[in-house]
Amino acid sequence: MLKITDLHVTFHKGTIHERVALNNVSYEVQADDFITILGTNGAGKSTLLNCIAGNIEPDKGKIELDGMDITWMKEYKRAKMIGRLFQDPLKGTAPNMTILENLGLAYSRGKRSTLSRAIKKSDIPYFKEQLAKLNLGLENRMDAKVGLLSGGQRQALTLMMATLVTPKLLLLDEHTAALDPKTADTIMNVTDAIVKENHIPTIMITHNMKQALTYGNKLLVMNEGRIVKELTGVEKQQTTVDQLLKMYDLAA
Amino acid sequence: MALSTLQGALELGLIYAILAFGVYISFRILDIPDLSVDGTFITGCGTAAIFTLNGHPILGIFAAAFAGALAGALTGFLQTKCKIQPILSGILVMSGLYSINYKIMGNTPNISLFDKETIFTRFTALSDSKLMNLFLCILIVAVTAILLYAFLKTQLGMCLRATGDNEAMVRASSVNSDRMKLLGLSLANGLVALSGGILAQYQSFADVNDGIGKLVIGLASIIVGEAFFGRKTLLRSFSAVISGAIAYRFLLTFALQLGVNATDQRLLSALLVTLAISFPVLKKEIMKRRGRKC
Repeated sequence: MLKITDLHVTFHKGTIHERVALNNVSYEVQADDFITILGTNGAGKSTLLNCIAGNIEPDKGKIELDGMDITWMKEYKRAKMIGRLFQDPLKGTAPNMTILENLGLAYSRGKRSTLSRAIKKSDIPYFKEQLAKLNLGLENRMDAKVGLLSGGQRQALTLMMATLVTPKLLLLDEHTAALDPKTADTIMNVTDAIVKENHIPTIMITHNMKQALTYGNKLLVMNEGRIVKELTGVEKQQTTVDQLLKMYDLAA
Repeated sequence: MALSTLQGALELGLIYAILAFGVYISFRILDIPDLSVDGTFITGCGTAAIFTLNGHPILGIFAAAFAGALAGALTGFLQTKCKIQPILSGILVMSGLYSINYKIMGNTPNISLFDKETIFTRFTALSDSKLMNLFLCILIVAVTAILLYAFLKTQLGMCLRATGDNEAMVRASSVNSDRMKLLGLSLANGLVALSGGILAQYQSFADVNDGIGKLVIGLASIIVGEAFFGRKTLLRSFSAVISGAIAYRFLLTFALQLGVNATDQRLLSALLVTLAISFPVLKKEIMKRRGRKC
């Protein structure tokens, strides 16, 4: 599905601040994987996601998605296949446009922008049906500007937009970290439901250890630019938060 | 004030409304401070004047818009591909255009179209009515506004609007945001040059030095109009642009009638824009101070 081979990233190369962010990371994501990634700040989690999404170009290595080499593909081009959510709920939506317009834009993902109507009337029932799944009543506020929504509502909408056209891969970068605990729980449940329903391979970064243990089928711990621990299946289910905390300092 | 003066102000206001539409696209929709406007306006004036001089007034209007769009694309190219800051990109293009405009106009600083056939003389020949110039202005603005409105409601137009609103999100929707900026700036400066081309034929005159302050006129128009209509919907914004350009022209005409010197016009415009933009801040500050006293 997603195959990462010997990915290496150095920041500030050739200066006194030179730092290896990813140290020859190799990993393969399977079609039904929901992977959670834990690690201290600076462990390389976000750099890994940025490389996959195309914000950062690696020094060397290879990223393949469904057999296609995407290592050097432009960010907006891979966005056709990859959905992404950030920690900042404001990042994923256009505040001065309506919910309907935002969804319309997300729905055209992967197609060429043309001079046809931006919002097709026939798509609106589908949008409403999808929004209703969020249980936030957004389906009745389609013409409200997104800037009027709360952070949690905006993040829920972003999630909906990222998966409206089912992506080949979903990247979640601490997407519930900026939300209050209750909203974070709701968003996490919706995420899990959407991912399961559409069978989307997912990689989620989190600092919430409970979240990392509860959701997903695999757990990776990263430290100093390497994947230092992989927990799967029964092993993952039986791991406690205390045990997990000790793994943070594992050397590669 | 004489009725003919009012009619003249209305006609000029409509011509400048097209300029304001251009500025609206770069400043409001794309959220890019595009300073190339002062150059591209004259590119439009000069191009249309040369075509008119050679007997092709209608073709001249389209050529003006095309030349402006080309210059706008250059501004966009500098911003997106050469990574030059938006303000500097605009200044570079505006500055460079001065020489190019001079060349377009056949190496003369001004062109008189006196006694030449223009779109206005052709249109007024159709009827005896004194309102023919006004009708033509209304027709041009109406067609431009309708086409632009329809465009902004298409998928491509929506991507353009979203680019100014949240560029990261646009890229995440697999849209090339650089291309959107290029397209938007072309469209914006195409409209600005179109306005310039029409103005040159309207006043039968083109001057290479006339560009300074056109951007401020566009901004002032938008701000004046938004005071009445706000900018909640696209329709309101469009009403604001047109009515603002006209209201602003009336304001200037009124000031001139009161004996304000024509060369003080630009100072007036600059003051108006400054006041209008800082007004909310001033108001807040005054309210705060009042609150403290109580």
